[in-house]
Amino acid sequence: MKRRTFIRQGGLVSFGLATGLHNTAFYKPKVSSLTILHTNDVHSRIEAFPQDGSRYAGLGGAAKRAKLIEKIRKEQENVLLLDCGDIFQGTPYFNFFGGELEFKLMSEMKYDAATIGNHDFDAGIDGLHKQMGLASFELINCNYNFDDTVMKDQVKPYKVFQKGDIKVGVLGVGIELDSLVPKSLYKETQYLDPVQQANKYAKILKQDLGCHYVICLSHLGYKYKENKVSDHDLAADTQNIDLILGGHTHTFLKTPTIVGNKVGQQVHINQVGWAGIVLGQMQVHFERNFKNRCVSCDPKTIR
Amino acid sequence: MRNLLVLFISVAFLQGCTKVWHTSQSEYTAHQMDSLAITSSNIETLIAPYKAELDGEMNKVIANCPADMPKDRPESTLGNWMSDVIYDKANELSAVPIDFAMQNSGGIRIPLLRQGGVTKGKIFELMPFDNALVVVHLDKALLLTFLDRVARSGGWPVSKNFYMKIKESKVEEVKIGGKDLEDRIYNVALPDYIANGGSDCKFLEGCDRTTYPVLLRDMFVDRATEDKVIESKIEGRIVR
Repeated sequence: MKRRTFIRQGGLVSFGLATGLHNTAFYKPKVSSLTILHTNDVHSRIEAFPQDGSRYAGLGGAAKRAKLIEKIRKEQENVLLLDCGDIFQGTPYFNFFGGELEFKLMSEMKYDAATIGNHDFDAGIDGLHKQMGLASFELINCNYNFDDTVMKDQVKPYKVFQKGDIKVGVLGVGIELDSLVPKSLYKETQYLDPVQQANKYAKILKQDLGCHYVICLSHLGYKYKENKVSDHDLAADTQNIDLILGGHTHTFLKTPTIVGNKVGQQVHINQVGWAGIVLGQMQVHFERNFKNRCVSCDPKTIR
Repeated sequence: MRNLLVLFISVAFLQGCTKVWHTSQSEYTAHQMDSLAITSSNIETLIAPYKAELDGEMNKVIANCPADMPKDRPESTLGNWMSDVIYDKANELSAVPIDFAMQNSGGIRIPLLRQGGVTKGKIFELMPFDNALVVVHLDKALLLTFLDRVARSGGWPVSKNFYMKIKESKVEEVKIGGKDLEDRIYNVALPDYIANGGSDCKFLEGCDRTTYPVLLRDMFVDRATEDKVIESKIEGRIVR
């Protein structure tokens, strides 16, 4: 038994030496990988849709999602688990327990952060505040000013996560609440321009705090026919954001959409429909190399 | 000159030496949570007490239904009861008097409310959608456009205070509060789904409205719990 361990260790050492030599001989750059798991608009879908012959019968459910997340965490080193809002409202679980179970389950699954959707105000801002103690994850938003509400100091504009070698900045934006949510529910929450705010905080994350990758959690909606700010506008009118994870419009995308930002760099936009039917997994690879030099990069992504 | 050259070389050297993390490539997988997926027992354990309490609550009998109440066109006892509940609640909330309440037939999700005890869960089945109350303020022309749409589908559930005769899928006669239509604004209580253009009511999208953060389902549950009985009569509100 001991001997076998020794042999295995010996094998690892020689493998390490070999790759080490290989590295010096060919200047093989250091690489890293980040796994971004995400949901949006889960809408209190705690259990799978009932098996009643309807469109989504049997799909979704927190117990399945948790198992898959567990499996991915075993396979991948650097995992971020994120949600883009509208955690609440849609099944009697919310009507009866006010979001308590939703937050407990997300904490159990070890969500890192979530942004706030319009339906997360459905039990009133006090109702949201009441569940905050159950959340082990961070609520992130930079365009709602909560200073005159019970949520003051409970929501952060952004958070930085160190995942292995990679420093990831996460910020969040929410939709205009007026005419969508009754004022009696959101109370003195003030809506600020999401594009301006996102731009401001993405710059802080990328340039001042040195994040290698910036993710914006958005509940603005994927795209609109009418003149209403969407993830597409957010991508096109900002810089320093690499990935926008969206929600609100319940859009199922086969692959993330790629849009050019203000300075022509690529931004990925993704959204996974609603009700926890789909768990999105973005696998982002990184290479440490000289500025303007990258062996494994798509030339368009070199910054 | 030499100094400048040294400076130039060192700047070039330093710049070349700066290593940064580049994003190189990315891949995406959409994992569908289908019915064959394995579940986490931890999560199931967390859900269990809530599910038990919820099921218990849903199985609670909140009212008695003395006679079978079917869903039907042009008028039905079930549709009348639901519409009257909406009408009464809208009148209670609204600053202006409500002329009538209407909902789409498709909004009633069970074909029949059976005679006997009615559980809270049955009301959730009857109205699974989170439709909220909207009072639309319609002028006579827009009201007629709306009623034409209703007539085309053979009548929708409507409250008291309303009478309409449909002939060959068209409006033949309308009386609201017992009176012929006048040139005024009518205040109509609707599910937000309809007021927002659902069920072929696109023409309502931009109309003047007041929105209330009250779910129709909650109105039904509250009223049934309060009255302890669910009943209604056919009164000839819509005839063909």
